[in-house]
Amino acid sequence: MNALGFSRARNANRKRFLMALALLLSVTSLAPVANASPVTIRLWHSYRGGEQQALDESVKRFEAAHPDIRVESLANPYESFASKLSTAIPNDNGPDLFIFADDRLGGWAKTGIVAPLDGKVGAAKWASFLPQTVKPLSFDGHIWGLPLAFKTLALFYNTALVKAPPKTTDELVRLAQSRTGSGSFGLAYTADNFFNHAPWYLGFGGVLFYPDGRVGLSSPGAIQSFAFVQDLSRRGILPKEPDDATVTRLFNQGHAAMVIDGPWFAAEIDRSIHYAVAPLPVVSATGKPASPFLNDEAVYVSAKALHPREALLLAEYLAGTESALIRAAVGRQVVASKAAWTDPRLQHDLFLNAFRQQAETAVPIPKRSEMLDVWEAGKLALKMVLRGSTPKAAALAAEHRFYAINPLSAPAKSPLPYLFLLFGLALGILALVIRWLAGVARRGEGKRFRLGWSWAAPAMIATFILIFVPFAIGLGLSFFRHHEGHFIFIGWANFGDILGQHRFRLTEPLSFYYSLVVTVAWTVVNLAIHVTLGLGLALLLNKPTLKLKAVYRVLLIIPWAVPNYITALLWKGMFHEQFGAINAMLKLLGLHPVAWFSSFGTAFFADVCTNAWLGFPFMMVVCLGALQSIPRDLYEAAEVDGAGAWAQFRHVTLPLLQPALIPAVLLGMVWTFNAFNVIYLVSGGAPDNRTDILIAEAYRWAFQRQEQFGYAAAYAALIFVILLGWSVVSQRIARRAEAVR
Amino acid sequence: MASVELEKVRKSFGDAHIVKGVSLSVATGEFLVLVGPSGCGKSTCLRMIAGLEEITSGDIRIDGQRVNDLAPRDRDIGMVFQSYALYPHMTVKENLAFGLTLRKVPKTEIDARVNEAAKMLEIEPLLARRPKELSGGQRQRVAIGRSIVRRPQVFLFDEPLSNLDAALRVQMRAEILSLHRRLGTTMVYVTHDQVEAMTLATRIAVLNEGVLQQVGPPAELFHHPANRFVAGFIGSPSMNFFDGVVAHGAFESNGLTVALPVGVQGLAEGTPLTLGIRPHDVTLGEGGAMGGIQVVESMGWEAFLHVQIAAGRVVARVEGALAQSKSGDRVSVKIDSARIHLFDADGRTLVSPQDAGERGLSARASA
Amino acid sequence: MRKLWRDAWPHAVLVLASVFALYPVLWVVKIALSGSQQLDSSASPIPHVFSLANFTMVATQVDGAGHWLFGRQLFNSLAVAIATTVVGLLLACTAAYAFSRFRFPGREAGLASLLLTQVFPGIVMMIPLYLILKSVHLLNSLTGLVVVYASTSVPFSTWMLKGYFDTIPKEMEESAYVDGASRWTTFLRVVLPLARPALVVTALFSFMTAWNEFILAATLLNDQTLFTLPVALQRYVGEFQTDWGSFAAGAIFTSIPVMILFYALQKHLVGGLTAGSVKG
Ligand SMILES: Nc1ncnc2c1ncn2[C@@H]1O[C@H](COP(=O)(O)OP(=O)(O)O)[C@@H](O)[C@H]1O
Ligand SMILES: [Mg+2]
Repeated sequence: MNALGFSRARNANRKRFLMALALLLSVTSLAPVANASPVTIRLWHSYRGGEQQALDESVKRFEAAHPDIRVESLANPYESFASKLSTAIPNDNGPDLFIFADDRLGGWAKTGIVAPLDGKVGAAKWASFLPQTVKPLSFDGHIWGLPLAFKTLALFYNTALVKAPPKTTDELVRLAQSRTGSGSFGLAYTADNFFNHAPWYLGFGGVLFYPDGRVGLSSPGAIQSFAFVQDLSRRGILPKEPDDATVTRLFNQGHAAMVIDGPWFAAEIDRSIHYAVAPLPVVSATGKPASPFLNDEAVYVSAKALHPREALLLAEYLAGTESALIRAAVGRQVVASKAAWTDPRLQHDLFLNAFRQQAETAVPIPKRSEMLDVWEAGKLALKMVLRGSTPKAAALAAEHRFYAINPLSAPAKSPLPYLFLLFGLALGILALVIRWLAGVARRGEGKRFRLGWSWAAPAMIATFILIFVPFAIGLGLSFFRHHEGHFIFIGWANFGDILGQHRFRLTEPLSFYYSLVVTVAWTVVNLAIHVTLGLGLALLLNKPTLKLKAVYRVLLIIPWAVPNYITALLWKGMFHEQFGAINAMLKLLGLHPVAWFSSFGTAFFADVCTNAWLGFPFMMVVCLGALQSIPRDLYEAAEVDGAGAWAQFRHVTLPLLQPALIPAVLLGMVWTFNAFNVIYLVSGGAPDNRTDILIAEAYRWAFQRQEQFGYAAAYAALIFVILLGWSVVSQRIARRAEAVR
Repeated sequence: MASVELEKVRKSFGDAHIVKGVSLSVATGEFLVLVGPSGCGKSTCLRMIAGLEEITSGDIRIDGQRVNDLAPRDRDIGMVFQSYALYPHMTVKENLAFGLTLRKVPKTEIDARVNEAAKMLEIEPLLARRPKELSGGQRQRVAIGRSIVRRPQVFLFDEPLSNLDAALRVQMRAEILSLHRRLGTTMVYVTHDQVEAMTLATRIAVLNEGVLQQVGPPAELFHHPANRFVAGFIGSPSMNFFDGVVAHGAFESNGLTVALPVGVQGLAEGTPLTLGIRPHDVTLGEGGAMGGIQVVESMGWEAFLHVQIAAGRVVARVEGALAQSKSGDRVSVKIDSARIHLFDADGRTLVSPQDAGERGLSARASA
Repeated sequence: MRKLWRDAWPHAVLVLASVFALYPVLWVVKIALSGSQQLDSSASPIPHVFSLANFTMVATQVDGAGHWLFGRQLFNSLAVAIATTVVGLLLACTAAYAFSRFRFPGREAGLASLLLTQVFPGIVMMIPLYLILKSVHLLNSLTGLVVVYASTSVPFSTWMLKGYFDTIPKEMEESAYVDGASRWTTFLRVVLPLARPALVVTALFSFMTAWNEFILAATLLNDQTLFTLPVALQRYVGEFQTDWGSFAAGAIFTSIPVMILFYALQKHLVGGLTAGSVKG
């Protein structure tokens, strides 16, 4: 306690300094204030809606019961939650406790992100949970979390259309077929999501991982399950390319007899629809029940918790009966507490009981980091069979994809020779700098040196520390592979793999060269559109006689003022197949709606449209400025010389625009080359990563495929080299333009 | 008020040696005009005096004090730029007061001095305007006013009139002269226009390619140019030159023979020489070199005839009936050996005409 | 007839382009006003429901401790963006002046290195930046964000300003030196006022960079009361479900300040972007 107090004091000192700095920057730094009581503990989760309400309610009750503890809870967006946890906690910037499913537990246990709880929680407590919710939380001989609730898929059916739920898949198909036709579907679910496919996959006896570690995506059961889905789709039982919104809409309109979904679906169902939930049917071909994954939500105590005791207190409360009942009632969650299920309200809750029953056959998600790659690979196989590939081919492609995105297992190398090289390089650079400085002094340029740098230094130092240093470290990572929180030096292996194309065919979307071609096409098309639109509009707006000029200019500049992530999400919404404005417009024109994100061409078009919208005003303003600076008498001179409108444009306007336009275009190219937001948010790489540009791929390697930071860094290094080469070339072009001026 | 001295001042930009050892002293109250063709280094010299350009070597002294390492603001000088360099974001009044506010002069005094300068330059009605609302001549006055409100020891002008039209230039010239007379401040004035130099200067310094050619009062430069460059540069139209040699004790150039004047008759046969004669010293009359008139620049009563003779082209100033000559007419050009300048092969002056009468100078000045 | 057509076609094109520019914005407004969280599957951007429910829901959010979240987040965004602009511009304008006016050893290299930063792919810098900020205890703080945003805005701002400074006649400054100004006074009282159009545009760019950034902010900030608006907005967009109504309302709130800035400054925008010349 004493030692802690001491370090607090030192911390406070440093904090005071930072406070001063903060004041200097005129921003209030709201760093947590060190205060003895009450203790504040931080709880992170990714709940929304009713689930969040239930959690908040529980927390409020806990705080009331423990006046010395304050709980600060933070709701995170689900997509970035896992990576935020694994970055923040090792850096002492994370929560005391957090709520997450069990699927990432393996990695977190190994990298010391979560603390084992089995020693700290009594046996009686463990016995108070449904056993199938405790088992998934064990790993490496310890239990790591207290289960709160679990999620599995089950069969929702519209009781007006389905009297008794099917017991077998044969029954399901028969029933569904009879409810299919004229815009209605027997069964609806997002069939291209591997989580939703898992019941069939496991029910047909598909293997996830063989004992030797190989992936079972092409195991006979897996192939049969893919064939089954294809059959559903061919029979027309399943809607084409269904997404969550479609499924909801169909069910709410009474156009879908059955839906496979999780408990959260209940919140989406219209009051007018009468429905019930039943466990999934038995797979007729194997006699085994369709087994969904069990998503076991638990509360974990961080290994770096500042207040582990208080955190555990809260965790135990959240896992306890009182909290479980709130969760069941408010969040409609299928709770893990046994005692809660003895409550009469839960006993008679058919909905929750159906899920509890389903949990008997549900299977925990394997706790290996490779499982993360199965989601992506499985999705690929499903998309392929739904589009008509043979199940076998799809399974093989998935298996191929699985290995392709698996982290490189390059052997660790001794970094010594590289360190020597680096050291030598550093020495060399140092020597060059010293020689240069000596030369400066010798030539008597010291005074000018001091003058210039005394003005430039603050900016240059800031740039150096916060741009160059991080970038250099980032590039350095490209010589490592990231494995369970550790970086292992592997020399040039990442580059060899990326450029050597051992794992993917050249034309595969994951191939570096494929993405490069897409990136170049993306850059060129966008710039061409920006310049054409921007210049064209600027020429119109620059007409001296034009009326309403100011109004047009204000309207046309609007897209620039909208933050570009908003633009991106907005356009994603507009290209939505069912509810998007673009398809609505097509329908008005009597055309067929387009599934924009199901083929490369249309998805690319959607991305380009978005980027054109957000980028043309900048070009327009640049052109307008340049046009206004062209003296009018040049046009008069050209007119006297007999130049027509086109000749004037060609020989006066264009050459004089060049000095302003070329730098804007060159810079625009670099920005577009790395324009991650639009691609990531609009098409999200759909279909099958085909529209991903290089930077988006790098992002996926880093944050979506088992945190392969090294591999991603190598991608970034290659992007850098390409752009560097390009900028050398473009400098020449710019200089030639300068000469023209 | 102070003197300005340059001693062996050199300036190089990298390997380009622009000013090559200029030594010059400007006395207190003097109006010195630094003249020379474009690019010869005049502005560079002036900017070194102002402290806007570092000196590569040599010394500059203002009022006897070495100022090589002083910043411009510590040299107590005023400068008027060719482009006026008025601050576009300030009114005329603010422009004038800028230097005084920087020196923390009390506000009442600033107002007094600004008004005084404005009255002197007749720009009082313009005080509230911004530079872009002024005509060229008005801007010029403001630029001058800006430097006089501070009452500096030395005024520097860098081609202040070259952006004005001809009539305005003549008027401003007179005003600058009267200003000098009124203030009595030392002025260093740079121009490429020798007419301006002749009319304004107490003394003229001629600069060519970074080397000082001659320093002296205007009349001295006109009548006794130190070398062929000065002879050609001063005077309008320029002096006529013929390259030739000494032959049979006379100057000989492609059919043109002129007797050597007194003082240079001892030159050896075959010595290369250049003969120079000003247009107003050339006469037309029987017995000279024959040639056809190529161009007539007529001004009514007088005219300049450009005549092509075998030795080259000659410009002659004529009056009266001769001024009615037509191009194509053939005339005979006479060169009086009493009116010639002779230069040696290095361009140094060997002899100039003896009389330094006022006639030539006043003729030039009114041109 | 032909004359009519000649006058009309530019308007036809411009109206079309304006519709293109405006349509998505109107669509957002419509969704925001719809009072529901769903997209609306009609093509018309004209709202048929006028409900402020989404706006009030977004604007009145309160956290567990009773803090008015939206107010704080708006304040955070403003504070971060303004501080970034001020700090970034201070750094950039002195450097830009040095690069424009002084010829000193290392000038070319300095300029080239600033240009070089524009081709750095940002994502590799994330983890190192996190570690650097950790080492100075600026992880969960707005100051940390400002420090990073300001430095990342420096290269572009410096180039923009340098380009503009280059067009200011040198004699303007020399005249000030002779008038008795120091370098610093000249810079403050002559150069900066003359460069106002460029300063305004550069400030706008810095402001927008800071105002719009959310990836770094979402990684660094752990406290709802410290969030900036885009981080908060991100919560409405889920992988499986998007609350379109809240998102649209939040998007409008987030866009409005930038829009206001744009219209206030649009006069400068045209001239400031393409370095015009200052006439004396
Ligand atoms: N900063 C400079 N760097 C390089 N050369 C310069 C610089 N300033 C002037 N010069 C060169 O010095 C020469 C003289 O310039 P200047 O003194 O302006 O001539 P002028 O006599 O016309 O005023 C010119 O050839 C010019 O190109
Ligand atoms: Mg000059």
